[in-house]
Amino acid sequence: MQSALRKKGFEQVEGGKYEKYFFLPVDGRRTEVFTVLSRQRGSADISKSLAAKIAFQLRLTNQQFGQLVECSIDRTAYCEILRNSKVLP
Amino acid sequence: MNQELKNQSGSDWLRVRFQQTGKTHTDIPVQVLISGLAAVSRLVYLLSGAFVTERYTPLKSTSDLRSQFEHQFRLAIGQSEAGSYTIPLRLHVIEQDDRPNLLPPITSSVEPVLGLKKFVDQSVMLAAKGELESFEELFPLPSNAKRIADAVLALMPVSEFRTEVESETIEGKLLVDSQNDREATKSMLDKISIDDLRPKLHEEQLTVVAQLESIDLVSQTYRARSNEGFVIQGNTESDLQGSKCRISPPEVEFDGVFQLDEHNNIQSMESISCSRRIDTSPIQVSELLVNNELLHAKPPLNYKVGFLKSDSCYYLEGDLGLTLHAFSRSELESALIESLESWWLHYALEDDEKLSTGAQSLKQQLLSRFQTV
Repeated sequence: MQSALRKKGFEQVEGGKYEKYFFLPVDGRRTEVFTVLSRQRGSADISKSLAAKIAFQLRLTNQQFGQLVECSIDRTAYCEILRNSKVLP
Repeated sequence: MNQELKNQSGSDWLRVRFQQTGKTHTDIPVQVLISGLAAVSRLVYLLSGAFVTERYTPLKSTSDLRSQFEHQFRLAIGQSEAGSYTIPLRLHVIEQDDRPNLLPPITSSVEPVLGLKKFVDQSVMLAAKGELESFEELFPLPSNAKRIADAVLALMPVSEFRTEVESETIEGKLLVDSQNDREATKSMLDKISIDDLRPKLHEEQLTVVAQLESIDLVSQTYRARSNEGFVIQGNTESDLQGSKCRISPPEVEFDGVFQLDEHNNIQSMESISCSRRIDTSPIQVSELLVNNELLHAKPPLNYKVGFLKSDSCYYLEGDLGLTLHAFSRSELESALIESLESWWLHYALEDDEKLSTGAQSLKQQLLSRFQTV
């Protein structure tokens, strides 16, 4: 998932002991799209419930989130989704 | 007041001797009895333990042990003589439902217990105070033996060693090479401050969440199973006693040292250092310290906490639209503070021209919510 976020252009900021923070910059400006991933667990599968919560942070539907992780949504498509949902102007 | 619990001719009875002259009653609530007994929890354990072995007694999932049994028992008083009563116990059968039964007796199982609760640091502290009799108590696991020996070596001059501490495992038991090793190590531990030793024993700990499967009130042990499939045994006396004995939802967090694979997935457990119940109480943030600047949130930020059983993880959501998830309560609390700090640095203190319109809105929310002192 971290790799998928970096490929979408997320800016990774190292947090404290537990967390990594990902901010999405668009056109050189930091947006409010932000997510936090735990350092504690690796690549274990996550449930639909948890996926839905991360999808909410990324302003995506569950289906779109799945596509983003699988990289079938690239950065351009992701930004388009954010524009369509009025997150980006 | 004295009490004894016996089983005579298949009937359970409890003899209680009151210090004052008793009156003849037909029924007394068990709460009256309990309130008059010094060792309340012990008595409840005895009562429940006796019934667990004889009869199947499901617990309500929403009640703690004591209140549960207060509802189940009414004690009819029989023979009265000079301040003593013989009280037959009458079990009020509660309705069966489909909630998990937490009280089947723990039977011998072919399934190996992969994780057994060990208090590693506590053992070292006791050893340092000379309160441990056996070396096995000090080094419950071979990996701990090496870790502790390394820590001791790092603190003590080499000249203090007569022979290096070595250990080996034979048939699951840790053996020490010689009496000299034992005495040398104990002697060294006596000279080392536990405060100096503790940082060297520090290990990264993970938290796993396990479902409480059974409680044996006679042996006062419980079994729990994590989502990863590890079976964990613990002691109800230290982990679940008293107010902590509430059993709904029946999940417990365990902190411990685990072996991870290359993807950081848990492969096996080495030790369990701490256990606690799942805590979904809300979190309130009223202060934030960022770059030595204290920020006050007025009003405080409030976050609702939930727990996802499917992922064994906590999540929170609340003010400023912040949502987070984490694999332990402490991690969640840290992540919340760190996220707010990160937001303050990356939004509140950022120039407007470097922020999108939405991010500028978040910046204004942060600035209006937090005040510097």
